[in-house]
Amino acid sequence: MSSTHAAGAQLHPPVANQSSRVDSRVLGMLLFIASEVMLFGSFFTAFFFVRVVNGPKVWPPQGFELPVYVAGINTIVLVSSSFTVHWALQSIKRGNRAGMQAGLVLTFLLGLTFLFTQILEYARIGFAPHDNAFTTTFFCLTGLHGAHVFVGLCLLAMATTRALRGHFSPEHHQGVEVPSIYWHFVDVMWIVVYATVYVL
Amino acid sequence: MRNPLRSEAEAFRFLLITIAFFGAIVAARLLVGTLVALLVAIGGIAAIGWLLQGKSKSRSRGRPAIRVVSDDQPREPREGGDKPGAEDPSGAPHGRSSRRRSGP
Repeated sequence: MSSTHAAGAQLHPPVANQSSRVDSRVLGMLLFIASEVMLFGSFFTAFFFVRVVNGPKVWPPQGFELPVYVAGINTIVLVSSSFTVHWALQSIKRGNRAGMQAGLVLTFLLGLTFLFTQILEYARIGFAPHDNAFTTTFFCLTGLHGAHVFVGLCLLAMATTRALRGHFSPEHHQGVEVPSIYWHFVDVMWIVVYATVYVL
Repeated sequence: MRNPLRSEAEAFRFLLITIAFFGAIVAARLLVGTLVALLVAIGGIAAIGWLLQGKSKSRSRGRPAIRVVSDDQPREPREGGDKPGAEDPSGAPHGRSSRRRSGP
């Protein structure tokens, strides 16, 4: 009877059990990134399979040319955006709100530049996804990455909007940190894609 | 091994390591050849694995050791009773349980 009264007196749900030392939001992002790594892994498997089957001596296949230099400049743009997002987070940790806002806006613009350059590259590349297995895997890998850049831009847009509205403080900046981790992951994946697809 | 994406700072460090690693592979491929690039890749993976192992070992060395003492640990001999079986009327050696097991 007394236990029934005790249960009735509880006006809020019990505190969720936290079995991990990692914050649940960061843990969610980490699990998401782990699943993304597996997704990219399957696409890379298809790419390397096509490459091995075609014969490794001539790559890309004859008649196809990849815009290595444009993609190289795009790589520099994306790597720069990781530095700016890192700067943004370090700024808010030190209480520099203007630095955080500038860093986030710069990151967003650099990401947008990368995405538009990739769209232009698709328009002028001279082959289509349905041409052969090489072109299919090329568009799948770069397109998958482009989709992730788009998602990252959405996250960055939310963080930037909140930053411009005066959110975040040196103690509370999870809303910047989690998109930053994702953005670094997107950058890492592009380094792997650029090195394996365009250069090697 | 510690998760390299645990925080933004560690994710950023991971990105820098990735850039250095793939930069070395690409440089080896363009300047020397494919085989050397492959060796650089294998060597890089081994070096990173070794570094991560070393870090995790040094981290575990810094932690205070947790001592688990079971009932079967040999006890320190007491004064006046350090002969085997002196404490235990059954004569069982130290560290062994003197309890008799019942049948199956």
